[in-house]
Amino acid sequence: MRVEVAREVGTEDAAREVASLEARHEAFDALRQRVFVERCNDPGAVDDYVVWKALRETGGSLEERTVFDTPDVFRALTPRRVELLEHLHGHDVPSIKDLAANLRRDYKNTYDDLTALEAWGLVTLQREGKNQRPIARVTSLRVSWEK
Amino acid sequence: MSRILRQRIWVRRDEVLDAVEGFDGTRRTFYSYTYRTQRGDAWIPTVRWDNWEGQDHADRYDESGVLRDRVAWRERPLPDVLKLVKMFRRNLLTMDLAEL
Repeated sequence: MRVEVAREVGTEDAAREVASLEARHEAFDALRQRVFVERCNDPGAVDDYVVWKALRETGGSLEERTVFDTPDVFRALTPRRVELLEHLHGHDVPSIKDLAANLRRDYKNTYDDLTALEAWGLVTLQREGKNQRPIARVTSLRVSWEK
Repeated sequence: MSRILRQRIWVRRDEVLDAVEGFDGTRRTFYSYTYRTQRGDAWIPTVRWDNWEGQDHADRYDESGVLRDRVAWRERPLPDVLKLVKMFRRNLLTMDLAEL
């Protein structure tokens, strides 16, 4: 069984991706120095360089897919969590508190559900000052079985 | 114009295969497949196949994610590498990758 999750990386997402690359590596030139001059063997640095280089190019694009080659993911996809993902897909929510209020849910349960989804890469909790902004990393979900 | 396709394939809750592929039009110019295992909050690379610097090779890492050895490797598509990962998992660390 295969569960495939796709996510389109729009302009806003691409800007967030670049901000996250800057937080990890400071600047593009510093990363280029690490991978070419210092020839670091960190696989993450090389992949980040390839992604960042493409995002700097005019017309460069990034597409993300997450595939679950294990049925274990269904343990994380309870009806309430799917509802939460759906809400995040349609709304820009600045904090967990706002999300809980929007869904008329208890803060702690909302937080627990978000961290469970985050463990499977379905949600990112992005630190913004005192808040954590929940971002859905899902725009579609498809289940298929191989013959 | 570059298009990047970044995929994370969950093999188990604590094992993933991360794939990054770069395309120039329809031509694939870069690929990397990194099999990672989770320790605490960190995803540690275990085995990685890529064509970085224009040469197909496979890297193996120790338990703390430090490069241990590198061998030449014949390029294979992602579904083949996924099969290898699912079949051999952590045993890949002790196998002759060039022969797989």
